[in-house]
Amino acid sequence: MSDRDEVDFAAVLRQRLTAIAGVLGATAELQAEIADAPLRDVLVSVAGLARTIGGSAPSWLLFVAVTGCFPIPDEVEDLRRRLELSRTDIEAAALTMRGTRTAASQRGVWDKPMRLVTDAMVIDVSFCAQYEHNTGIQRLVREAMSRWHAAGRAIEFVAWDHDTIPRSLFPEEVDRVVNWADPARSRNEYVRTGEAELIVPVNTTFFVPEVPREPLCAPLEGLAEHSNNRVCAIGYDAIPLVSADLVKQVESERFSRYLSFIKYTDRVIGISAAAAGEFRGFASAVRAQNLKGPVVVEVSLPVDLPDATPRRGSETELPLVLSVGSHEPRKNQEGILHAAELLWADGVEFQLIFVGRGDSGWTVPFDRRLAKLRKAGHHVESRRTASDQEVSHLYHSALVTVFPSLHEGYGLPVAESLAAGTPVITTNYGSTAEIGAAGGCLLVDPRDDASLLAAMRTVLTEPEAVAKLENQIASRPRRSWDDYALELWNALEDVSVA
Amino acid sequence: METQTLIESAGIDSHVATLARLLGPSTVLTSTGALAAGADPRAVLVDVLSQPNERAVWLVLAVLQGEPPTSDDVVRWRRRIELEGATHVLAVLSRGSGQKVRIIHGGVVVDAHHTLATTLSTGIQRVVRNVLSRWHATQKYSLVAWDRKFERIHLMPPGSHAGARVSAPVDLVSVVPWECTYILPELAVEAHRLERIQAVAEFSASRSAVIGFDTVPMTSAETCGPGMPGAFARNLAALTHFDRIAAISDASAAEYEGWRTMIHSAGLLGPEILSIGLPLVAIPTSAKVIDPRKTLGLDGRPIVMCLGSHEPRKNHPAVLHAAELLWREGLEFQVVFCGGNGWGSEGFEHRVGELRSGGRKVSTHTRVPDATLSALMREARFSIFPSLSEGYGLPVAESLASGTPVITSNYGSMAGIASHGGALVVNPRDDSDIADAMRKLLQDDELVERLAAEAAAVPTTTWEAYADELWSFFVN
Repeated sequence: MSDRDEVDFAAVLRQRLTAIAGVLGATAELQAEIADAPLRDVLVSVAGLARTIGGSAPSWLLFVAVTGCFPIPDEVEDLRRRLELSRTDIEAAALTMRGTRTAASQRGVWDKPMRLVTDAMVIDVSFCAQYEHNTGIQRLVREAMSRWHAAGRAIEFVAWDHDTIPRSLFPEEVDRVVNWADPARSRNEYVRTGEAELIVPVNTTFFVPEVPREPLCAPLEGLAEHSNNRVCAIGYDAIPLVSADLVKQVESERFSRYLSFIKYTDRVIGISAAAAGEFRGFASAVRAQNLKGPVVVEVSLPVDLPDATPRRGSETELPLVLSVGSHEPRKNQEGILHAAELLWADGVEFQLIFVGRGDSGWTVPFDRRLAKLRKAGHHVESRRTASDQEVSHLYHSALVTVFPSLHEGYGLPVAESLAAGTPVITTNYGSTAEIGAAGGCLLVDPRDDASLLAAMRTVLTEPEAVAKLENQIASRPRRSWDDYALELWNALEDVSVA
Repeated sequence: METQTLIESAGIDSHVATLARLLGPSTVLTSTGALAAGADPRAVLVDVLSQPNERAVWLVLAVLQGEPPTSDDVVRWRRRIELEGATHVLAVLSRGSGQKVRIIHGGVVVDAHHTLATTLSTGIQRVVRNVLSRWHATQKYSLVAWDRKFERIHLMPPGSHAGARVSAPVDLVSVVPWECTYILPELAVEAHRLERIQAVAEFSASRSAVIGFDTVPMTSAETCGPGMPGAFARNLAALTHFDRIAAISDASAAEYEGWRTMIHSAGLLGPEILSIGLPLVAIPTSAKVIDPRKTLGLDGRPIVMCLGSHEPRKNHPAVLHAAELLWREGLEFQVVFCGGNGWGSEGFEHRVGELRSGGRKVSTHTRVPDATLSALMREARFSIFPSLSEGYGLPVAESLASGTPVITSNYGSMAGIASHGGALVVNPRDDSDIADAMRKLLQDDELVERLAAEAAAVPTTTWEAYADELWSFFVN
């Protein structure tokens, strides 16, 4: 970052105000006039333009230019009302400075110029750009964005600067999004070369493919409600609301704040029919407030065909039953273990491995039970810190993957297991049932232990049932990340869907 | 079950006998429902528990442990029975002290814990008190509340809903609702209470019913203070297992129906939802004659009354802005806000300060007694309630029932009430629309008179009729 003493703040403000003057309808004559005018006159002219046009969108833009941060909805309304009550352009300028100074001093970014983007889709990839982390959401974003990038689509990646305003990416960050697997790229999150500029979307599409952090929800809501941009998002699931009894209350709280943003979006792309159904339900609920609510489109995630790696037998003599997923009540590891204990008591022999991290409040007592069962001679263990390679190896070694989750937006372990050629026992409703419909899965009611028990018994005792499922996997229709990336683009751009 | 029986039991042997009688198959019961001579209650109970039966597990835990269990408890003990055998697990559960319990078998149980624990009477509490006051006079039910830790249910004295003072339970015996109708007439947001309520709905073999006020914390979390959206999500999770929701308006029903669509992804069907609109009633008055101008220190200018707490959803900054536009036009009037300071009212208060120091007549009043509110409502030239989202919009109904014209939002429950006449509807997101309606009512005496006449002619409905309709949906 540049040395603050060297920044000419007045020049930065002038650049920003001049940049938005055209959008606010300044004539070529006026633009030429303010190019040489004192900063004070530029401010009066631009605030005057916003005052003359009236309405929320000019207030939103003026707020962004003057403060260097995105406003929350109340701040836009407040500035709009101040401009409306101004009798002169000079008063408009004075009230603008007075009304925005708290935001500017607390959250404003003052040392970077601002670039308006009008002809490209602005895509918020804050997390993928800044962090070396690659599970569920990040995989989707990186798979899709790398393809859009390679295809030369008109896109502009942004990340939020200190949670206040989007900025362009540093080259290392672009690589982290579109060249994730490139061994040559920097893995150091602290390395950044060059300078970033602030990016302000104008009359374009702003796309949020990640789940934004809580501090971003209110400014994103302001953008979606009051700016003149089309705002779209990917909808992953509504688990923290629908299944609030299975998550920590703070997660439900955060998710509700996120829904305040979703409420004002134009379009939400659900990652499964089940996820799309959740967001459609929400959209219909907000219509009671006379809001349109987002149009919800479904673009399901791909399930890759089995990869080249052949399946192999388990490491031990016993057939392997595999459970992959974060360790929490929603994933129903307790149900799996219960069914396993009943099968062991019946003399069915197999090995059971749980893979996945979790809150120690859940994993510690669970692992203690596993230790007891091991002492009693059963082959059961948990691997809390398995690497990607290790998990892949386990998928290929397992007889069956068990994933009787109570609620999923998608159910990545189901797709991953199928991609390894390994059959899956999973939930008979929602997104997992959608994946299972194309074959390779036994579907069970996760709230009924007997149903899970019966499916596990079938797989462990009837080789022909397993062979049948394996054949089904081989003949599943192919759907790749290329397909997904293309369909996602079309779902965002197709304005005929409404 | 129509009739209600209170079964009291103390001591482990008595508990086991009672459970065997309630859960045992008809083959071990006499025609009067007693255990047949020669039947061993413990053996009967072991037989019942040997089949996977989560309802039976719920009742056994509730009685033997002296508190209604959570859903997790039920599942955990059912699994334990499957692994260790019913005989052993029943022996483990019988090690307790066998403290006295009171099983409410059949009939109706009304859980009004929060309302009974306060003397306040705002929105939801007013609904609960008015409904219970009607039910108390006409229906048979057991009124219950929870202990401080939300582990046990206690019987409350009938009629303790009035709110004059906070009531104490009849005694400290733990109450177990079984095969009854469990009614939750209020918004429950206490996490520990909801855990157990959810299990009552899921496992107690009872029908469960709830009044649905609105889903604001889900659909407008941005207008809620910290904590509420998370707590409300927990409430909704419990409601997934309920049988019936009586929404207080069509708008509220539409919100709950949207939520019910959402839960399908989790393999849940959710409750039946019916809109039963709240009654159109005036604010209660007193016999005493009150001069609201004198009481609240108002001068002779026409009064624009705005009733409701200052929270973002109520849109009070828009009212202030519209008023300022009209003051600048030279119109003479005063705006009188009555309502507590909700969350997020700093901006509103700041703006009120600015306007007052600019010489504008705007005043805010909190804790105004009903009688004064009622008198003020009648004294006002009109009232204004351009809320962004309401389950019902009581102040709109109250204004009309007082014969005072009202400006309110052009959608949802508020537009529904306004359709009776006596109101102008506006787009609450458009300040100039609000200002236009206010200008009309400030300038046009004939319009005010016509709307006042319409308001006076709006047929009021009663709490009694509402409570009766509610009972019939919940119980019959």
